[in-house]
Amino acid sequence: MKIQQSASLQENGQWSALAARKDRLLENELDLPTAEGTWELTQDYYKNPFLRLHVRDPLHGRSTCDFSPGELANDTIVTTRLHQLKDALVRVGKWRQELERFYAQVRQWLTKFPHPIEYTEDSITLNEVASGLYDVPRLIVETDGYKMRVEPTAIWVMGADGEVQLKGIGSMILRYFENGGWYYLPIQIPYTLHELTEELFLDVAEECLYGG
Amino acid sequence: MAGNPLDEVMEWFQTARDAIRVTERIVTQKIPRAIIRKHRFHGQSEAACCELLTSSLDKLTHHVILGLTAIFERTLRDHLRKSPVLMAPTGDPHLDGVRSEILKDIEFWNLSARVVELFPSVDGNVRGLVRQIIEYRNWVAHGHSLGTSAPLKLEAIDAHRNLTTFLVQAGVISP
Amino acid sequence: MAGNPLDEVMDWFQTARDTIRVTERIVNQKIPKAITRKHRFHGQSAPACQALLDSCLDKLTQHVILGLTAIFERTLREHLSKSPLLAFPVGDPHQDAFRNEILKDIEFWNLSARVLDVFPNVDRNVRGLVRQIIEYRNWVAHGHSLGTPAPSNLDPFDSHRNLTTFLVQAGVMIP
Repeated sequence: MKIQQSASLQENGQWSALAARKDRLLENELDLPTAEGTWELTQDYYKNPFLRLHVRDPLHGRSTCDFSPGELANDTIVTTRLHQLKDALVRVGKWRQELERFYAQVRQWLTKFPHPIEYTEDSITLNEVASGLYDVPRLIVETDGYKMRVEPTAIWVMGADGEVQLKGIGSMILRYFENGGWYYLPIQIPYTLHELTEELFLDVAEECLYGG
Repeated sequence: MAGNPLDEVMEWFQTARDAIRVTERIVTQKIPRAIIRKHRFHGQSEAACCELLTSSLDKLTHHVILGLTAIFERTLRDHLRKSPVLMAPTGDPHLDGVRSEILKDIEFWNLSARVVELFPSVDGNVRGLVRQIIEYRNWVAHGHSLGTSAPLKLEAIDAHRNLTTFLVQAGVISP
Repeated sequence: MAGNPLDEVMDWFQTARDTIRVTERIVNQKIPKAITRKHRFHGQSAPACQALLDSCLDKLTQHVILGLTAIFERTLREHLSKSPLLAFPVGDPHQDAFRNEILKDIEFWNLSARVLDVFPNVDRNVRGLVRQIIEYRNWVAHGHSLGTPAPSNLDPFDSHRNLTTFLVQAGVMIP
């Protein structure tokens, strides 16, 4: 595993040495030969400095993990965090794969729309407590002068295994369940999940594109 | 047993949400005469208006969850205050004095660590979800303005559902 | 602390309030093509829509004050937890455990009865006004659903102003 430090971190001898002391532990605990790790020196809202570890892997993507100096001095804490980071990285990887499958499905369904559609795919960065920063693909749909984004919003969601929102005029919530597939969650009581069929998706997409 | 005090919050939330959606529709479909000078959308670009409206909807969701949690907390504490464990006031100054001190104490019991645990009839998973909602409420109150991430992603409907499930299983409200 | 954490609440409140006003205008002026069958105003009479919107605005106002108070409370407790009276964590298990117990205790200090009073440089009248806001917050969380009247007539702008004045006088925030 290749581990490096950002240029700004390298300029700070004390912090640089602190990070370097953990490289061996990092390699052993993450055990991802294809991954690359980068240490970065950054600060929080109160301007307290901390070290951020970025881990990038060709298969899974990226995750980050933050350490205060006190935490970095404690190998038990570092080991636990690294295991959590690895679990998060694997989960991010699975989610990215599911998103690509889902976008292919969406494109298939949208062939039923009456007007020609233009698709763009870009990448957005999200930040969740379990994973730190990670990147996911986003699908942008344009048709008949209207635009809708099929945008992942979270992996760690209450009661589900992932969430995407259709964002245009208003936003529609779609939830993913590893053992169940995709569902639409309308914001109304009682709480009811609707299995995302082609018909339902087209109805919800139309509402999102044209505002109802 | 009472009706669900949380339902009313979802009612007005849906109205507020729809008002935002109607306004978004007006902006993007350029429907005339709807937005006038006294509205903050007046004279703003479509992109600026949509950004204002998206942000407003996010914040509305945060504050609704904050409101749901406040009402949930109050409902639980009031339920405890009416518990048969505490005899009704007797008119005896000593007993009523002790009773009054206990009632004051109940207000200080930590919601997550103590109050939630007083209802063993509530499924362990549900108690866990409620703790997550309380943690989210704390993030709305402070963390999110510091740029920290939410502990978990949740919508107002998730909070309503799980807080309601708790209240039903706790015997505080009827299903 | 730089910046007022309460400002953001007022910003979204004004946006949300204006969406209600825009929708009111659409309903009353019968502006076409703005409301569709996906909106809860669809198919309702103008008076029924107005009633929904009036009620929504009332609840929005109440919940904004609830939100302002939650953020105010959180800001004060965070300020206390960072007091120079409490040394930074040192990595010593005993000292850090002791520090943590004090921090946990601060979470339990009653806002109205204790926290406000550890800021003696805040004008007494301001402290009194803030106590009224807290009382109103408690009514939003519970009393109003019982049909009891609000303890005082509060407005989000007044609440924002008085809570901000407290934070500035307390030295928690730079004016």
